[in-house]
Amino acid sequence: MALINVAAREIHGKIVYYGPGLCGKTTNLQYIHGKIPTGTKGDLLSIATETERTLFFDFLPLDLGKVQGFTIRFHLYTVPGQVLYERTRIAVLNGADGVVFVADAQRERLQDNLTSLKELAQNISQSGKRFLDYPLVMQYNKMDLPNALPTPILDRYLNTIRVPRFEATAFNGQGVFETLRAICKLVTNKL
Amino acid sequence: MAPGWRVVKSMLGHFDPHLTQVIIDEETASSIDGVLRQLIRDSQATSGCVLDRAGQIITWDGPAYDGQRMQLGALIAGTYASTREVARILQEGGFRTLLQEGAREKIFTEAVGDHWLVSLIFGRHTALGLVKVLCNRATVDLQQVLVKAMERQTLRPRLRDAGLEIVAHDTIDLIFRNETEK
Repeated sequence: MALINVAAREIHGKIVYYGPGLCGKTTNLQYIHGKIPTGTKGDLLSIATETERTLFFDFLPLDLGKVQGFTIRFHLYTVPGQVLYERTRIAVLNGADGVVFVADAQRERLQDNLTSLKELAQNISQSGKRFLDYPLVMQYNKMDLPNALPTPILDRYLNTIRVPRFEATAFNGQGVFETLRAICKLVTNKL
Repeated sequence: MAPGWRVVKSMLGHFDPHLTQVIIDEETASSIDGVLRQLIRDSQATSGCVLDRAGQIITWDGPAYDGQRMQLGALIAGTYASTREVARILQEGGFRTLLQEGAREKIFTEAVGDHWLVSLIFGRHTALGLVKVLCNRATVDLQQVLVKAMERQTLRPRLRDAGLEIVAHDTIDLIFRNETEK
């Protein structure tokens, strides 16, 4: 939930990067952490397995500084994408103010994307919120790969509710900040 | 009406039922600080915090872990959320408390109603039983304060009226840019 602390003059928002395993959620946060100026970011916290797969979550606090006297902070999280971690995803999604759905654009991952997106919609609905009204941005990642599906096809299958969507290649940063800006603005619009 | 509340009423919008928010005005912050400070003093803990279940710290009292508090909040809330899922699988109503015990420090966390947590960090010279009893009492006071704060905010005006949204968007555009866009 967004926390507006008038006494401390701080506004906190929680943004969760969601999507199937190996779609690039952690890569998004790593790129952001690598490029954001030091004073704007905290340490990137990753709870991962020995093989560098996300076990619980990654966490990156970002500080926008003062806006009309309020310090605005966004807390970015990723969920573990592997199927067996469904209950962990619910735990991390708890209290989120907005979600970035990271889809893997590769042809053979379409079904994984659909399954993950359906699960996200269910989890948001079960938390008492309307999925259609929820601050959601979609990112089609790995668009540089030769087996990536074209954007119109990804739109047709994944973005039927027509949320803002961005093509990306997260490992080199393409589309990463465009996605971040879009979700941060959607969250601030809801304050 | 507290001065802080007047400020927020002039800047913030009406309650959006699809995006639950909590506004901590100065009166609420002062009450929470008071309860937490007394809890730390009476239990002889070293630090403590009240946070929401999304991991955002509402207030922190104590000298330790400056610079790592946001990470601690995220980890405490995440750990608590995972125990709730464990409880669901075990068909338990829920675990209200959580104890993490190390050689030097312990952390005791207890749920405050359905939305918040209180955590105490304490050393080996502090009795766990005392922490449990005092924490349990404090949760009652904290819940009253926070529920009142939630009730008060239902009539707040919108954030975007004050232009904060526009300024926030400009700041987001300025800070979250790729090097190629600068």
